[in-house]
Amino acid sequence: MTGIPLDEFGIDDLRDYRRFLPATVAHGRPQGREIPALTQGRARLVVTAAIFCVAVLVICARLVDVMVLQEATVTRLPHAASTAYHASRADIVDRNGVLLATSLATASLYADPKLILNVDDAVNKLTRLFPDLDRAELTEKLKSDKRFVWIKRNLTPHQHQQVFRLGLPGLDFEKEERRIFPTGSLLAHVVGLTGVDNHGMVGIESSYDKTLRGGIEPLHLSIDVRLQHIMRTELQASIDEFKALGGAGIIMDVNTGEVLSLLSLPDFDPQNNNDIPPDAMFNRATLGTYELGSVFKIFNSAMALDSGRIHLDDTFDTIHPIQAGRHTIKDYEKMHRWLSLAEIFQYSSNIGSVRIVQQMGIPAQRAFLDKVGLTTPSPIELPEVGAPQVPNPWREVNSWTIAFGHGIAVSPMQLAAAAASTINGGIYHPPTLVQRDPALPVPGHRVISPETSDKMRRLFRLVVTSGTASFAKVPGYVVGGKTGTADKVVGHGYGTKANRTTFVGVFPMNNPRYLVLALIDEPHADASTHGFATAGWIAVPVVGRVIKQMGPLVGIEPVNEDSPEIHQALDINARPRSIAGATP
Amino acid sequence: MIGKSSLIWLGLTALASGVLFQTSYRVQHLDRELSQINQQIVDEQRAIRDFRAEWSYLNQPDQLARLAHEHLLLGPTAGSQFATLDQIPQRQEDASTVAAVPPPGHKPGKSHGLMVASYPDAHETLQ
Repeated sequence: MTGIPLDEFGIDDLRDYRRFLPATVAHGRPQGREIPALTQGRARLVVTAAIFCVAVLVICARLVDVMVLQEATVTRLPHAASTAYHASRADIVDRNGVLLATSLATASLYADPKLILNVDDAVNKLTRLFPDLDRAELTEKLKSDKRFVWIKRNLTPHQHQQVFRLGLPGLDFEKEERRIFPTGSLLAHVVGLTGVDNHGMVGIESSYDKTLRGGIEPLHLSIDVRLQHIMRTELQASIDEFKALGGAGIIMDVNTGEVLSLLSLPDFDPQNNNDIPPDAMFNRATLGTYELGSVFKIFNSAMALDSGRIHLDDTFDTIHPIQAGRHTIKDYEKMHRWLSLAEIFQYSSNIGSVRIVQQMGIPAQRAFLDKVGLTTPSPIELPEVGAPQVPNPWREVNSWTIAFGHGIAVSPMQLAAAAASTINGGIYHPPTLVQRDPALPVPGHRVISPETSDKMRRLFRLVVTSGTASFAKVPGYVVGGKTGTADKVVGHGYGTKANRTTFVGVFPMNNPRYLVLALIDEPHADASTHGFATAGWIAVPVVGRVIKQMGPLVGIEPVNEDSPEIHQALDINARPRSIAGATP
Repeated sequence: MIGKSSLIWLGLTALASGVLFQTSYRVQHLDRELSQINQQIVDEQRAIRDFRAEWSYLNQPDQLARLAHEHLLLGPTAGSQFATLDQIPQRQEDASTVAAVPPPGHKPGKSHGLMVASYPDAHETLQ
């Protein structure tokens, strides 16, 4: 205030402040000439207040708008909406929860060539990290005018970290997902594989593609990795030993139809699926259909016994070969006498089997094979399923050859499911690769009576105790089964050198739980088999070795195979249980 | 006239806005923390998936079989190794019978140096 003349403000006398105050304050009452100014001032006040009010209202409205109405849409910090990570494709696990296929988040490396400072330096560092990268190609890529070039797809976490450490500008990562098969080729034909776009191409990955895509819960297969491993090891050992072309193996729960192991050799590595040879890609267990030979006597015998017209001890002429066109149906092991049905099964007599079907007729044979699913493709959940080759028209000569497993080609999977139905009490359960819900009833339909099934068990056991499959004897486990050795079609006729050996084994035979099937394609006999390349020498030992290892694993209590109870339950000549138990 | 009540209201308003401000900042801070934790959880879950795949990879049956063969004195279980409780004989109080049993130092089914305990006249084959 000091030094400023008050005159400059045009105020003569500060004490005369009253003239600034409203008239009412200054003089108590407004004087006549002061009234217009007063109204004018009031009007101004009202206007200002109104403007303020409007402004405050607008702010209030905006506040309500922002805080109440728009609250839901306000973009908050970019935090995860949910705290769970879901891959875009569900996992596949085995019956015990072992991971068979999973999708992992991976990073793919790309570059923006414009931002690369020193191309030579970058190329040096990158090729040192990834020796498989082509130097010249990489240099060309990084010198190009593009803004985006792929360098390497799907890095491992370790490689990802190493690229980070390089600290090169212009490199960046794109998040991708990659299908991983941690068990490698062990389940190649079952789990299958996916293409670069993560779509299923083979196996369960293909048949369950829609379910897996977007699924969260893992898909539980009926497969048991441990049994698959045992089966694969033993089958591969046999293929190597006898220099065979390949093989197939199946382990099945006969009471549910669940497939615990399904194998086709040679197989492939689903992880490195660039050039898989077609032979390795081919699923011999489900897609391949073969003439399987004497194992078909299972169905011939079951059909005959279930009809009630033929009994276990009915005998048939097996001395005289049967002429079928220009072929003669002979027996591998000639017995020179009439054989009972049980002996025909035991010694695998072709002639006897033909005599049986001659009594049964074509319609009965056809109807029975229909019932056990041998004339229609297997319902197994794989895209690789072969349609059986069934004669059309079904002439008499066809019915003869089918009786001993020629002139009809089915897949090993069809054979396993059909054979299981004859010894599990007589119910056909469609085979499945997906674990069954224990709360739901197992689907199935009756094909033979429980009594016939009981007789079939005795026949199966007979083949192991005193037939063609003595190598399937396993101490502590009651094994039964049926062998089949089929000559392969070479050119226009059957070759005698090339064959296919099959064994269908079941244990424990007195109360069947598991069926083990082994098929070996074109084995070559050696000194250890005394020059024989029949199922009894090639396929049977594989099943024997598998059962020996899997018995303890699946928790089946070993028994004394020579105990009276076992003989009572399985011997052909044993008296029926009801009579034996009747004596006090 | 600015009365006492106005002053109180003003003070309360100031206090309220102060508290609101602080709350707002705390919420923002917690929000950031939450999103970080959520991101961490997702990362951990992804890592768990990686580990599960690795676990399955390392537990491939043929690999386990090879390792067990190399490092363990174990072989596949045989059916004959199963017994029921009533097959096990009653425990004998004589301590000497226990001491006479050699510790397992060999693979089942394979003859090995330590097996000589059961062949008393074959000590020269030790080692």
